[in-house]
Amino acid sequence: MSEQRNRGAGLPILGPLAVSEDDEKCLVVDADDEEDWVVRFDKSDAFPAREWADSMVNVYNRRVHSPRAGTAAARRAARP
Amino acid sequence: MTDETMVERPGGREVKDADDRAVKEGREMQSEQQREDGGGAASADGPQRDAGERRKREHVVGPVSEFPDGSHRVVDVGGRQIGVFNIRGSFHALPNICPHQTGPVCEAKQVVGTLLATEKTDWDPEWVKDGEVLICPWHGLEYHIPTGQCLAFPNIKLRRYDVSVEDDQVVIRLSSRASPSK
Repeated sequence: MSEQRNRGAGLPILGPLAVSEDDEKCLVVDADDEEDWVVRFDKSDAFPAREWADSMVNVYNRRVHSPRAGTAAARRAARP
Repeated sequence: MTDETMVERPGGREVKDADDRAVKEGREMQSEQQREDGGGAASADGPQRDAGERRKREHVVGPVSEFPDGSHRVVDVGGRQIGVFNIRGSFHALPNICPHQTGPVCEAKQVVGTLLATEKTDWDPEWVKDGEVLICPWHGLEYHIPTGQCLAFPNIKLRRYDVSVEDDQVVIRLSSRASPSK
């Protein structure tokens, strides 16, 4: 049932996300476990890794973990 | 069987027990994904640390017959959504989230290939990576499933979860200690 409900909405794969950064890369990680990552943004070639990672985290957390998350209105608003 | 913990499987059946669901440590890790996750080597703090922090959580997501060659589907594993792909008999698992706008990337209707034009082909486009490319249903970003690599942005890579087939069951291992490689 929950699987069906989540389909198409891009709903949680984890809890809230966060950014973990070092000299080489930015990782988007589980906010509760920084070693549990989902996406890597490499900093080579002046790629704006931090901006990408921040954007992903902000979009995800706002959509999935805001008080209105899960409502049809929130899904419509979140989907550009 | 004691202390049995029932876990809902993607198909709605409840089968796993605590031993299946979690914490099978000390297994020899062989796949590339497993090596990326830091599997195999013991930590400096010894087995207790391994047991506590470096556990491999195993999740049976279904029989191989539910993942025929060329198919893919999203399963719930440990509270997260993971796309499982069977590409010519080789299994791959990626998080169901697109780095662009966090869309459900693994819910693409089909897996395809892509066109690539290089100097080698005199800049004529050629069809490559057939059956290995995932297109996000929201905005069309493409990812190479076996590597997790975004095709448009080489600096972006999805994590690859460790997935294998054991006793005709597809098994995903989640590691809390992940060592992302390039």
